[in-house]
Amino acid sequence: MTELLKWDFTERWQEKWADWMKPGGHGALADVRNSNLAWTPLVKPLSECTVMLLTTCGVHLRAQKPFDVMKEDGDWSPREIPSDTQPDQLMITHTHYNHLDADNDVNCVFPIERLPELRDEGLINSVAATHIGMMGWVPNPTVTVRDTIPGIVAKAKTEGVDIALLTPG
Amino acid sequence: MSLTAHPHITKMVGAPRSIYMRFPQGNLVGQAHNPEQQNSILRAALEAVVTIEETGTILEYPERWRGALRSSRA
Repeated sequence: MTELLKWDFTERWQEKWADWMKPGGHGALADVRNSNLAWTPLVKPLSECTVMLLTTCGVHLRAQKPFDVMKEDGDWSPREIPSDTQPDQLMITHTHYNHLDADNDVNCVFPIERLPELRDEGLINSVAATHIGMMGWVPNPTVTVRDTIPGIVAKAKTEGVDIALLTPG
Repeated sequence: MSLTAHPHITKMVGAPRSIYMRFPQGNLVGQAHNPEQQNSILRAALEAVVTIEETGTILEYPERWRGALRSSRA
């Protein structure tokens, strides 16, 4: 793969972004950015790593409380998904992208069946015991940054996760 | 490591390691019932964790979406 060096913020995207941000627009989004970009070097071969999936595609267990897609500031609560979960035990609650394909095959957005295959090939060492499902429509991510993410990081450390793969919806 | 459909937003918000997928939202890990494609994307993402050396880097996945198999938009 090559590095993407040209990522022009086109006039069309500037207009879309402005609409997202304004009150009464797409959602009056809070403009929260990382002031510093973290860097955690990989200190072991990929073949020795444990990998966790973290998705904002709105996937959760059918037995779990669905995400609240009507909440004004968004639903920043995470759902713990055991990595041995069968796809038919999962569902998607998200109203801001087309998940018809993912409803038929959740691996389109949450590759829970693919990751063990790469473990079996020896590309990685192991799959984390727990994956995390979130719902990405969070107009104000303040609590996500303050509470949700540190909680997920703590969980990942407890389970010996080396790599988290983030998949949006 | 994050996949993204909107690299300019990812760049603005800031993420250490990303891969730009020229795929539609809802299919960033590939087509439904196409395990070979899903496997390739997942493999590329994990291998990129090793190859990316600088924070903020966005790589571009070489394959583009071929939409014939996508379900109708809701």
